[in-house]
Amino acid sequence: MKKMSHPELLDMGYTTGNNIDYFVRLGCKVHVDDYIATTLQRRASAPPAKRDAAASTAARRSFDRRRDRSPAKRPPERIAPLDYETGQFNVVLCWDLFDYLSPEAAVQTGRELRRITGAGGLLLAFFGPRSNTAVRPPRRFRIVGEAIEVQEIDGPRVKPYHLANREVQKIFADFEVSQTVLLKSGVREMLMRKESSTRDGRPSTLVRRAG
Amino acid sequence: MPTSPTREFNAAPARTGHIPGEGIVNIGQSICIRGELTGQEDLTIEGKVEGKIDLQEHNLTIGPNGRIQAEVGARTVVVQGEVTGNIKARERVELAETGHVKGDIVSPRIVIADGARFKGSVDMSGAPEASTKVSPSPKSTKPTVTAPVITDGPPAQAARAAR
Repeated sequence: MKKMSHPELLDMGYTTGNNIDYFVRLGCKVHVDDYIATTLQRRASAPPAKRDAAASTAARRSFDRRRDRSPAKRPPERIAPLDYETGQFNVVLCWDLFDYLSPEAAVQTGRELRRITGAGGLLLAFFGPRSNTAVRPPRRFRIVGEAIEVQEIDGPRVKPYHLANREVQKIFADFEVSQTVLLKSGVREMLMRKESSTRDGRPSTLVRRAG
Repeated sequence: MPTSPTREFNAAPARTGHIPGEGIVNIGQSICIRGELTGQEDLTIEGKVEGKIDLQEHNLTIGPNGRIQAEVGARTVVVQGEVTGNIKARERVELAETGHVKGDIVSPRIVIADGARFKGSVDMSGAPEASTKVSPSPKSTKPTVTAPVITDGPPAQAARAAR
């Protein structure tokens, strides 16, 4: 990233002054979008699944079975488009955003992230392990020197989602994984670079491999 | 940008408070101003303002109850409430823990407390001593997690590679 000339950077984690300071000093044009906080607020205010209400009485369950033999489901989640220009950013920091997104929201958000990341741009995301299913508060990632501190902060406690590697590959089809670090905790840190060759419409190498 | 009706802000208008000895004018919670707000002294806003605020060489404080939908310009700006609009300060912008800004910030110095909400860009260009400072909020800051998530092992290697 240091090789880039005044890159435009989007930080989608909780607003953290240290991080802004760090990237401003690197010469970045920094944009901050509290997207994780917004996502958690949306999750907290979402109506409960119809299944929960239906489960309250045996009569209701019976009605559902007679009607269509399938349990009621939560309506599909719709993510508002990110209000940034196509290819605007050279670097996007997602942190652990995908821990808070349902699978359908992850696909929609991934599509938007692919759109706003310019050719050759970098995207950093952390993906939690399958075993990490305990409800937990949101976290803030703070760059301190050469390390990253993790702080639990006040906010809605949610159960994190898990994305398998294949799902990550599909969501970020236009990206090549530059570096993956698997921590002892099972968290996968992924640094991805958007391929410039996808501008001509050809499928990316990841898609070809996955297919 | 709504600019009318234009109102020239004076030191002691009706229904605004003047704090004796401090030279600070206060716009109370029940006050709602639409238009252009200009002045030659420091100002604290606890009410609503829509339009434009220009204090030039003076300090502006948006109190915890302040709700601003305006382009804001001043020497220093402290945001404890909500601002929707761009902020331009000649010296410093401070976003407090309770502050919520949706807009771009242009200032040579920017202080952002943990817990603040911010959506926009930061422009510190042209500043002789550009620096961002952080004043962590004791209320929102819990002890650092020492879980092996990031801090254990090779810490955030992919993140470091991104730099």
